[in-house]
Amino acid sequence: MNYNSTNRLSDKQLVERVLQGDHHAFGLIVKDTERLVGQIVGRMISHAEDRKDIMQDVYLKTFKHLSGFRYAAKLSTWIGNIAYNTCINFLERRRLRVVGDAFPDVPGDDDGTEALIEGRQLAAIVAARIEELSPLYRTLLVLFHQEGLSYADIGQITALPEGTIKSYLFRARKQLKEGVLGEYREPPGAVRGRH
Amino acid sequence: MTDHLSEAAIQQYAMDGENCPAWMGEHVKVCERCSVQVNNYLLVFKEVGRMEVPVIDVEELVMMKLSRPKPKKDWSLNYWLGGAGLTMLLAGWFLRAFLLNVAGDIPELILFIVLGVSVGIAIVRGLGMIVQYRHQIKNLDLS
Repeated sequence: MNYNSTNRLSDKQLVERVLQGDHHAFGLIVKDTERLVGQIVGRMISHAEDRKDIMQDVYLKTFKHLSGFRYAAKLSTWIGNIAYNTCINFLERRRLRVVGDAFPDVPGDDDGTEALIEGRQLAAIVAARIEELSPLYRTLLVLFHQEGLSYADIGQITALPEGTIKSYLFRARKQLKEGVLGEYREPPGAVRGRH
Repeated sequence: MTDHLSEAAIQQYAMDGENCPAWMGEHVKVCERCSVQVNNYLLVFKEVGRMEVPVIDVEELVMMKLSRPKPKKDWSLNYWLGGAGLTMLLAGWFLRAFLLNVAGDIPELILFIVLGVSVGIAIVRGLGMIVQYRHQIKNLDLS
């Protein structure tokens, strides 16, 4: 996902305009980054009302600290980092789990030959099972597989080392696939045990 | 075939098969188990990519907050407090002879206790009123 197309103002131009008092330029920054920030906040925070408050908080913080932006990263990833940290602080204040395994590694009856079939049911199962992953795993998965961000960009957003991101992503993909397969195996109407 | 690809290799092949070593591709072609697993990952990745993106539109709210002028500091309370203090001082000045006469008949200790308690109560009640006033004004701020 290209958050700053070349036919628009560059990060530097936008930031300078905002610092000169041009609020419209800040509106452009919000528009450019709204999807990325929405993905981070939307995946890290479950409650819809909290999401809206946090989104506002993220952009007000961005506006307040914009003069401190040093162009070491893309503006979008810098704002992404503010969003990520705001969410982490929110989750920590509420003592909610940020990272962890949703489903313990219990050997199941998967012999590795069960094939998934594309369709509406699969889409619904994937959407439901991804919600059961930890907030960080969910966020990493969508940033990598939906937003197409590189490990380096994700590293700038989350301040995690590349090796850690790869390791978390590996586990998140594995958990998601196994969760989806588990739901696939269950007969319709069966109640699945939650962990 | 007994030696299957590891989970990490299967994920890697599903994400970026073209850049994986040729032997991986050859193995996936002939191994049904690994082929199914690669396809499962491909389908899961595809569905993740298609998932609904959370839309949280805050641009208008944020811009409104940025362009709202800073409220001017309300000095009226300070003027009222200053006026009340000045009035009390003036009243004390004009009635000083009477007050000193009354105070002269009261033992010093009792005078200090009465004055101290009165001033203490006045300060506590006054601060309480100010806090309550500010709280109510804040609640009324519908802008």
